[in-house]
Amino acid sequence: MPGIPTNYFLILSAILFTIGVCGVLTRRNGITIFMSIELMVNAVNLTFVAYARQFHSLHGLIFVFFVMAIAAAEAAVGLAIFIALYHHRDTIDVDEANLMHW
Amino acid sequence: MTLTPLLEPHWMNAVLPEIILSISGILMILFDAFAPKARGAMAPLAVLLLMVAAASESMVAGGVFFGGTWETGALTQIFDLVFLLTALLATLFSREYLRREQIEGGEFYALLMWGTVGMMMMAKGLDLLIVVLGLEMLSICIFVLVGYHRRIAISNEASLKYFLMGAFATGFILYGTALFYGACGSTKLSDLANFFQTADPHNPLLTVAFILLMAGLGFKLALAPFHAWAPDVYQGAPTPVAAWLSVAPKVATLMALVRIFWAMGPVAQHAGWMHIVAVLSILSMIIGNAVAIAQRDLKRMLAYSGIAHVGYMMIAMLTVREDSVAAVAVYAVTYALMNVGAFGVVSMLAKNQNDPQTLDDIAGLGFRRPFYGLALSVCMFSLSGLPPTAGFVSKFYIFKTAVESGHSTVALIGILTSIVSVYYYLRVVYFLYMKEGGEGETAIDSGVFGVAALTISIVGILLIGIYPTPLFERAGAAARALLLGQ
Repeated sequence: MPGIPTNYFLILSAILFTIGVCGVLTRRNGITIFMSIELMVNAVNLTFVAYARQFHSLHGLIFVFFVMAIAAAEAAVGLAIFIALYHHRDTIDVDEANLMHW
Repeated sequence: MTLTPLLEPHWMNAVLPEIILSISGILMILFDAFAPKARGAMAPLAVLLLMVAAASESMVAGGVFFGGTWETGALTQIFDLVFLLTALLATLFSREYLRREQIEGGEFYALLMWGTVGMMMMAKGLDLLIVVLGLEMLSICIFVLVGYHRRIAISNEASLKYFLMGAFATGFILYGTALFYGACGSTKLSDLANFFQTADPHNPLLTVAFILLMAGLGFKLALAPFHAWAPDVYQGAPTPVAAWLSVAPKVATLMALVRIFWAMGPVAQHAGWMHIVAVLSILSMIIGNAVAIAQRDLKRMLAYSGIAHVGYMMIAMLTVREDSVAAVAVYAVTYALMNVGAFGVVSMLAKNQNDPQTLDDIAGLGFRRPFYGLALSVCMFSLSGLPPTAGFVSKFYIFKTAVESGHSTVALIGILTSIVSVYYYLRVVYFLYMKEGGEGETAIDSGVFGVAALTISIVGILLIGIYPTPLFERAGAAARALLLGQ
């Protein structure tokens, strides 16, 4: 295959996914955690697109469209939850959400 | 070259319940918008629409549709009916709950219905894309429902926790799916099954993909060690939502896992993947039952017991064959009846969402409120697996198929931990009848909807417990039809 080998894309997406996981585990600000989750999802999209390019198949590309729709729907609900949280506590630090033992 | 048609009119039959439920959800919201004065009629309308969807199940043609991405059959019908039953019971309990909290709205019932559509997609999808879409449709409805009581801090907090955990888990599921796509070139389960016939079981890429997928689905199933969210979310969520959440999504995920494990076939056994599943199952049974003993809050206790029950169901998944799939189906029916019933009683007893129901609150309740006492006792006997309840026969069936498949050790751990569980379930019954209680301030007006739901639970539990043969035979035939195509 001409151009950049598929493996390069896969390594990049694995790195992005790992950065996302580390972000979720170490950050305490709700929005930053959510951004890290989006990074994980985008890494998945990159994997799908890279494989679809290698296989010359549409299947992976279609999956990417649905994943983007899923991410958008999650963002809509998630941000609403953060706004409600902010109303209650004036912060979106998830460590402050400790009414029940986390 | 002939083109495969994208849509054929008769395929609509295969998605009839989904179409009915989706439109019903829209109707509920419109009803609330245009007739806010008639809110009292909303719950009966929702019950009616759920029953219409259940009736339409009999008109669904069996077979494979939509270019091999959608399969209906006797087993998906049983699972659909479990989803609808759970949604129906949750709706009945919600009516009183929502009125007491003064937050009744059409979107609540609509979200329950749309979540049910998502579960049906998970159970029927023959393509990982459909399964993931169903899972997300369900998850997004759950995010909103858990935080539905948004003026109460713990409901909001529960929603936040479920959202972050759920979205995180979705990332893992998607990445696992992407790696499977990379290995086999398709996300269709039939292509995956063909691929796995000749796949190298020692391919590390496949193992990583499997672990990612199991980690993500383990979150959704509340399997230990991915269970940490469950007690908090159940405690904070509106109690009827917790009842629904503790049963239906788990059952839907199990059905999706049945298809995925079946597609993986022998490779899964060779690669030792089933050892991973066995470890998750054992951990869930031990952690769930051990921690439940320490809980005094009924909702948290039921959360930990739910973790243990998923562990039991996972025993049957270790070898996917007709008997074990039938056992999971029977267990799903039973679990829906008893767990929703138990949460329902808790929902009816609490004065409000911030009022936790502890063991001390229910002391002596069996005499003050005989019907609630009876309902809770029957659910507890069934959850602990004592005869003559449904819990006994379905647990027996699970352990029997596990021993027949050669998983005696896991089955033995299951039996031992379920003996431990008798202690904390019967402790509830002990408090109900043998402890002096307060002056009866927990009792609220009993609504006819909640009483109807509890009656369905009790009758179902006892009926299956005393005369299980029809259900067992139907589940067995359905599982054979699914796996062997007979």
